[in-house]
Amino acid sequence: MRILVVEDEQKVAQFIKRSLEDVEYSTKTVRTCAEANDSLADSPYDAIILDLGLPDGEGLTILKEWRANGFTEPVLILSARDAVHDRVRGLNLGADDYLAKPFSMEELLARVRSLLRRQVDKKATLLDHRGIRLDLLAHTVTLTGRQVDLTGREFALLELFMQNQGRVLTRSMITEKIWDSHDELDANLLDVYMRRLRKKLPLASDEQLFKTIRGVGYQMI
Amino acid sequence: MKSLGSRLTLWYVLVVMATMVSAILFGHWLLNREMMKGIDLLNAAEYQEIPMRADAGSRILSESELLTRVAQEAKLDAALYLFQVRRANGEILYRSENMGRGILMPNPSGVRNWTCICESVGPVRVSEFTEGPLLVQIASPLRSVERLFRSYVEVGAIMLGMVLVISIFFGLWLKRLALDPIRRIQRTAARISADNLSERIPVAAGNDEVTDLARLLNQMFDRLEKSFFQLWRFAGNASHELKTPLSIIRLQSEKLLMQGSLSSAQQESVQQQLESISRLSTVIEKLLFIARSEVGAIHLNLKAQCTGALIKAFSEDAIVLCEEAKVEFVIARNVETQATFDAALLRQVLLNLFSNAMRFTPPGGRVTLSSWTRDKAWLVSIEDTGPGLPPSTLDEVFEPFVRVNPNNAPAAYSASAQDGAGLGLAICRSILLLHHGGIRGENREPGPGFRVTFDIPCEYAAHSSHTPAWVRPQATPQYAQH
Repeated sequence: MRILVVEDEQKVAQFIKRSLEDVEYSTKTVRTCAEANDSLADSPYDAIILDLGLPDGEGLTILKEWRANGFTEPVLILSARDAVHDRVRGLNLGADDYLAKPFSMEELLARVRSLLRRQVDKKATLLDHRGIRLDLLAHTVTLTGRQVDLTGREFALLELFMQNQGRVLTRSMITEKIWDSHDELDANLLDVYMRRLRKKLPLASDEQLFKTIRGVGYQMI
Repeated sequence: MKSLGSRLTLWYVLVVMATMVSAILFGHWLLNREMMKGIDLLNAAEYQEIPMRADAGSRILSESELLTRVAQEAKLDAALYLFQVRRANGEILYRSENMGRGILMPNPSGVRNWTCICESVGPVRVSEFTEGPLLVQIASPLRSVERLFRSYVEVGAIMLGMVLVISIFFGLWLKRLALDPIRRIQRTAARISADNLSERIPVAAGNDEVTDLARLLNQMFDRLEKSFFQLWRFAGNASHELKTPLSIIRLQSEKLLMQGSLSSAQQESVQQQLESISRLSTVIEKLLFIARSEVGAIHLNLKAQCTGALIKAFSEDAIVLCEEAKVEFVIARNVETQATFDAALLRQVLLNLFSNAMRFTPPGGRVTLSSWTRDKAWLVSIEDTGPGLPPSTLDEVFEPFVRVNPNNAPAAYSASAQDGAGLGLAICRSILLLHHGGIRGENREPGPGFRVTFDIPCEYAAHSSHTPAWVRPQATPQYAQH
């Protein structure tokens, strides 16, 4: 997997490069729009991480150019500016995901993984995991054959974890998906829902279904 | 008379009417003067006719001769003139028969012609001539003149009415003519917002007051556009300059944690550092939001939609949070309607208000949501059973960075661990102002408790449902019984 990082802040770029290389993604960092265009012309990439404020232009402008010219590589926007406004504009212009600074590296990695996976994923309608069976068509959940009553939000939350078994889902990724919100909701809300899911889906012998990762999010194991 | 247009029409009509009335009055006066002059001349001519009938020669007529001649003349012209002869001491020597019982008053001394009332004849124009020791008065009745003036007044009144109608018509036309350029300016100025600040009012050729006004407004828009973009750039720069170093601090702290060489106390403090960074960036984001909404630079994702879906989605979360806090959540009233709003932002308002209410509601308390419509507005209130606020601080709580201590409680409204800066209610107000709505806080009566009510414009009141089915989903446990 090859990833292009377009970021003019050297320190931030170095952090991203090192972390991506730690998880075996080959990474190239460039500082300007012009260099980014050169690199894309040279060789193909699997994903692009694009900062918006670049010294020789606006990140959104080159994103628009890329999409107009038929570059379909997934793009993750990194922005230090107006989160609400840039997010909407970025996604409208063809970005695949958006992350506001200051971000956590775990968050970035989780989003890059999900970005790369999006290319190959096919959506199943019947999900199975450790005795839990979630039927997307019938909208039902069973635990070892017994029906479990879930509210709408609980169902959506469980579905998200079942689709991403074993992967770390950050708090903001979850709120984006379930509450369609990029703002901090009541900080308590997600934890309350996780607690309810755990209670409604008790596994045998005190095994844990969800692992809490402090300051980051949750993982279904 | 609210609009300048109707005032302009009114003024025009008043000026035209005043001009017309003065012209008619002046005409009346002029006509009267000329008529009187004419009558005086006729009176004088009639007098001239009396001596003409005397015998030729310079002999002075005796008193009785004179009286006889006057009587002859009076008989001859009885249809037109009244005659009266008196001595200087006032003794009346002759009155023509057509005067009936009336007499002519002596003229004021030195006045040749005057108008007076003669009993049984009416108003008369009297001319007085001196003939030796005698005074001869010849009078013309003014009845026909009076009729003439009555007709004059009637015609004047009819003309005034016509002029009134015509001047209203022309006044309205004048109003259109004068105000249309201003209307055009108004329409363009109303259209110019944060989205199209570069649009300008079209300036017609010429150099009149209206084009001057358009030019001035355009200059103002130039300055506005400039400062707007300065602010935009400043906000962008400030945000970038603050968040980039924050990113680096955050990434470095994470790296420290990942290396795993820290003691548990050190790990804890790095964790706290990370949490502070999140809080700080949230505060920066919220401040930017308030600043931008104040200059109208927030892009709302407005959709005409049913308010029911918003309340439903919110209630599901509210029920869960209330259960957790052992607080009862009640929807007292839910009137659904159609309104145009940004659902994500309004949900944030609901959640902010709800979190505030929860923070001050002790276990066993109750948080109540009501929604209803009134005068094309959709209103939502969220109230708690907490301590309420000191009345003097009810308006302050919506100001940024204001923390108000509730009655007899150490905690503060709008200051939670996660927003930390007293921005929650200020953001709610910004969001509602963007929706052309409003928000206000009050203490519950009977208390204690605090109630916040907000409103946004809505289209109509669809239907009311007091206990909608979805408020208590089948999985809802008995959260009020503990």
